[in-house]
Amino acid sequence: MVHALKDIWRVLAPGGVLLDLRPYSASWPVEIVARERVIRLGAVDDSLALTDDIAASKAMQQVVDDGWYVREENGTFSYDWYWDTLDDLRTHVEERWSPITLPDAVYRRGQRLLADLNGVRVRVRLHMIIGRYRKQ
Amino acid sequence: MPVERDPQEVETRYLHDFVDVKDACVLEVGCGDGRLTWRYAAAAARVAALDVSAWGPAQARQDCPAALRSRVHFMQARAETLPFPRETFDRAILAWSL
Repeated sequence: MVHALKDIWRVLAPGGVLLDLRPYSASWPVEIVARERVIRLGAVDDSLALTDDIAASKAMQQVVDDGWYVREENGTFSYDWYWDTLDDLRTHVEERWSPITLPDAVYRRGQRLLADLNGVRVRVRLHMIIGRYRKQ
Repeated sequence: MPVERDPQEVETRYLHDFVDVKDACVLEVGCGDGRLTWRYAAAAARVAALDVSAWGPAQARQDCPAALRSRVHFMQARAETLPFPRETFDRAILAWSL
């Protein structure tokens, strides 16, 4: 990670800006959205991603401490992704979000509830870190 | 696949609040299929968007709107060995890639 941040430093113009935008582990809620109703099913299991989150934050801190970048602003926000079906969500998590997983209990609960509902979607609320850094 | 990613465009607002890409040369690391690229590329002068995967840039090239094709370039590359000379870009966006 630090090697990547240093090579990005190399290709940035003097005073150039680096934006770090990434998800962070916070047990993202999984919900069913049915018109005005929102039913919480549970959360994804992102415990295995925590190590990566910590390593990423440490890498950013290291390049700041070593004088490559100056941290100018940072924050967090949340936003939603929607799927038509629980199976679409499960496929996406398996194919794109490793090591995050959709727990079987959440999937089974969703299947039971969805059997009785029409015109619904499945939603995950992702939590994000955003930070702006300037090349020193 | 998700049917809608961030329909309220929260991520887009934060991105533009945090970094001004207007007329800038932008490097995006971790572009995937261009999901984030489409949310700022129209304002930039030039974008080089890269991903370690082969499928991401290939999909993004396929989806790239005609109006952006001359300014946005997708490629497979690693952030540790960027295929660009020194001081090429005004902005760099690490998109889910640290």
